[in-house]
Amino acid sequence: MGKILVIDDSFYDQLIFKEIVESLWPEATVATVDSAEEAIDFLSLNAEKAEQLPDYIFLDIKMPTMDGFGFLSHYPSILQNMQKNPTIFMLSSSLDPSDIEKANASPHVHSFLEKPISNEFIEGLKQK
Amino acid sequence: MFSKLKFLFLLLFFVKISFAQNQRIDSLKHLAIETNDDSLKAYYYEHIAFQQSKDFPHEGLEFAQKALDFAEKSKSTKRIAGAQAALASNYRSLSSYSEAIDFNLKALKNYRSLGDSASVAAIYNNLSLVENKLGNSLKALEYNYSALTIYDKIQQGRNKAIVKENIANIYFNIKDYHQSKKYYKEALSTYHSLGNKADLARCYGNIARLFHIWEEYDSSKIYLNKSIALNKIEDKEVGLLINYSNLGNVFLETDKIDSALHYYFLANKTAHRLNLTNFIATTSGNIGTAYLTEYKNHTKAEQLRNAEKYLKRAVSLCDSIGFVAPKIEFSKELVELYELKNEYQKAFILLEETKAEEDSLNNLENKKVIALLEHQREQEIRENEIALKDKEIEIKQLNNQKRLLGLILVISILSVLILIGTVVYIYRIKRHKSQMSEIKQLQSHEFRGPIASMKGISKLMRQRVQEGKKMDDLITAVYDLSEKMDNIVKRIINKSNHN
Repeated sequence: MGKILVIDDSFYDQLIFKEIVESLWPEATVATVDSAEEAIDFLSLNAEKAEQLPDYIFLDIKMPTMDGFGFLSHYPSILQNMQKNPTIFMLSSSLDPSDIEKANASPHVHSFLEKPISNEFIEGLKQK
Repeated sequence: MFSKLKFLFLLLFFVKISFAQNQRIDSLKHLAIETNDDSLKAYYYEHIAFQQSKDFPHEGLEFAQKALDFAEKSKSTKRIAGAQAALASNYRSLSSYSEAIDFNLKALKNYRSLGDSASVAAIYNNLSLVENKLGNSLKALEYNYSALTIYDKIQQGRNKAIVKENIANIYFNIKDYHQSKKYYKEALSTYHSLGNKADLARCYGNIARLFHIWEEYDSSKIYLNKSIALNKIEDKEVGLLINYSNLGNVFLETDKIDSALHYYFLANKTAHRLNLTNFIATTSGNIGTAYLTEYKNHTKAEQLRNAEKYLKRAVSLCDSIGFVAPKIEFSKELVELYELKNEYQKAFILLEETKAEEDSLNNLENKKVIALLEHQREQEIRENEIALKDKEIEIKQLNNQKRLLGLILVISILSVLILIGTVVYIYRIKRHKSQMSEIKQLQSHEFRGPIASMKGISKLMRQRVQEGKKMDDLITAVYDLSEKMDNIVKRIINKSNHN
């Protein structure tokens, strides 16, 4: 229970996330993709292989071509074939209340988290 | 005049990898043939090899080789390591020290890969015994200290004490008596708390030698008598023999020749009973020396005859087993005896022979001393290098801390600037409600983005400074992100100017 997929276009935010998880939860594995499209490709290609699929997805909102909500609108169709049902967290720097509302309204999103990720959250995830 | 008489026997304790039980070799052989499991076969042969190593190393070597063959077939690292240790043990008994070292190092590597600390420590100990035999005292000490660290961690009190006693023995050999005493005492206090009489007896005996060297003969006697009492209870005959011999030495040093002879004879008898040629040789020599001393005090012809008989026997026995140093000492006594008898021709020939042997021995000893000094010098250089490296690391860490302080300062200034910018910005957008939605977008996404990243980067910096890691990429990140913020601020200013 420690496979994580990060969907974020920012190289530095990927680095920050990875290094924080590495130091607090070394057993976890963090994979990163730079765009929502890449994430959709990855998940649909590996839908059958449960061991390749993540347990947790951390999804950024603002990305150049397709944003986090765009990903979420495609998600139900990929999920149908997936052998695993990952927990999705939205991880964003946005403070826009409408973003937070929209995120919370999505049935696939567990919760909205503010960047950078807090140590306590990772510790909590590790305990699960 | 007696100071040259120093046949104080060192009791070295050999710790091998210990096994739960000592089964009979026959039944082990039977078990090995019965089973079809290669790793079990290896296990049984390994046991046999260890048991044979003490008395029949040639046979032991064959069994160890068999154990290794089956271990390799079974691909069990643990068994391979065990067989290698067994080979080393037998090679050591055969005085094939380079092979012994070789196999011990192989076993060490395997036990390390298995994370088997107790066996790693045992191998260190075996290595130290081999190095000690080769006269590499300092290397032996290093191995012992490695073993000590492990026993400390895994809390094996008795083994720790045994290693300490071995360390004390080595210090004794290299004449660092102060350190020697320290380690004996530490070992002794552990033995006391564990109550193992055999260990106590051996350690008391070893401490007695220290007092002998320091010419504190009364203390030496007390410790020897303690050791004798315990060895009698435990029925340790070799221990007793050494005690008697050392006690005889103490009496001879204090000019109590009768008592000295009494104990030398006790030792001599025991040596005969156990059929230990080296001890028969040295105790005979000691008896001869004691008689010679008595003759010089009382000039009785019988004493001179006895002295000659025992000294001659000692010299020939020493010669037969290649016991060079004692042979030289006893030969010198014999030369003195011939002089007293006015047999100058005999005295002269023997003296010539002895001198030649002594010269070659001294050469050997000198080489050892030079090797020791060389080793000490190398160690000193190594220590200096380590100290230098520590200094470098310290300086690096200081520099890192300084750099971090600077960065934190830069970040705080930037943050304040951004804050002011944001306040100005928000103030302005409040006055330009028409552009509210666009501004909101800027505020929540573009503006917050780099600030959140900066927060994350500073978090990583704190982490990396604590771990002493490099931060080059983070410094680049700070620059990139501040440039991003700068651009956003510029855009905001442009926008507000337009409005």
